[in-house]
Amino acid sequence: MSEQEEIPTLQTYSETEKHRVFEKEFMPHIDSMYNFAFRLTNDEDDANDLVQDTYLKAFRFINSFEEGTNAKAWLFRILKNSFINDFRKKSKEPSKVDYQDVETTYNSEEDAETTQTVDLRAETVQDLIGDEIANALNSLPVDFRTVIILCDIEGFTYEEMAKILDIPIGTVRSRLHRARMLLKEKLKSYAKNLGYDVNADTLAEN
Amino acid sequence: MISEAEKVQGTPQQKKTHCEHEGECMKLVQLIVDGQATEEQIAQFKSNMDKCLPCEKGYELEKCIKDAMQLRLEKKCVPSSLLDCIKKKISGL
Repeated sequence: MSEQEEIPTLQTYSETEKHRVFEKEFMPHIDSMYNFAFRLTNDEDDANDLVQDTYLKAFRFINSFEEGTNAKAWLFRILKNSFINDFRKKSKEPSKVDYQDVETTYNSEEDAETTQTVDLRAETVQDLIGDEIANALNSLPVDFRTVIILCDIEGFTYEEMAKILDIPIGTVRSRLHRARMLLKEKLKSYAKNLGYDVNADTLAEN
Repeated sequence: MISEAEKVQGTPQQKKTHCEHEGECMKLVQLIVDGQATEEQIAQFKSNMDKCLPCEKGYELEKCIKDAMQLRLEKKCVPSSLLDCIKKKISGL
């Protein structure tokens, strides 16, 4: 949540209520928040700063949170905005891919007729260990990595993701599709490097 | 040798090995794997998957990757020092 962002103030909590709501609604999500921050930054110190920053902002703007609504999605949205506004600017990560171009291309009728597929087998993925899968995920551009984290790891619905990311649901779907195509390419590449014959009917491990 | 007709239509004994609607089917697979498909879409895809090998394999792969993301990635716990720091800062506000 940026300083400039318009935040509707809906509640007027007392100081005691603020602390109660914070403890009850926000703190249970701190492990998920930390994992999200770590997967975005790939750095423990940055993840610490990002989570701390997010929770302090959440407390500061607690009057715009209605108790009993989706606290996790609300917190993820603040963290994502903090990451974009504060951390991504100073990070050494190369500039993000122009996913709008990718989405525009993907959504065009011409492209819809020529869908790409990645020749990868479920059995090959099952043989990869967690670290190899994590490496493939971490190698994706952050905008694609984000939708996979939100959907597959955190289990948000498309509607929740659209709110967290400030994008239309159609864009969530297309970005997720594109992200998974890239992830499959990365997984295939990892599997090949590890000696799996990804195209054969039977797996052969060197 | 599989004829072009069999590739598209399949036979009762053999699933078709080429999907002429692969793009649309894979979009449907994504909705199903993510729990975002309607009952109608699920029924449509199940019926199709019974006849189409690429759709069946595509579903298996997407499901497998999603399961791997959910179950095989390390889940970290927030460091206790960070937890203490946040609580201290909030209590001071």
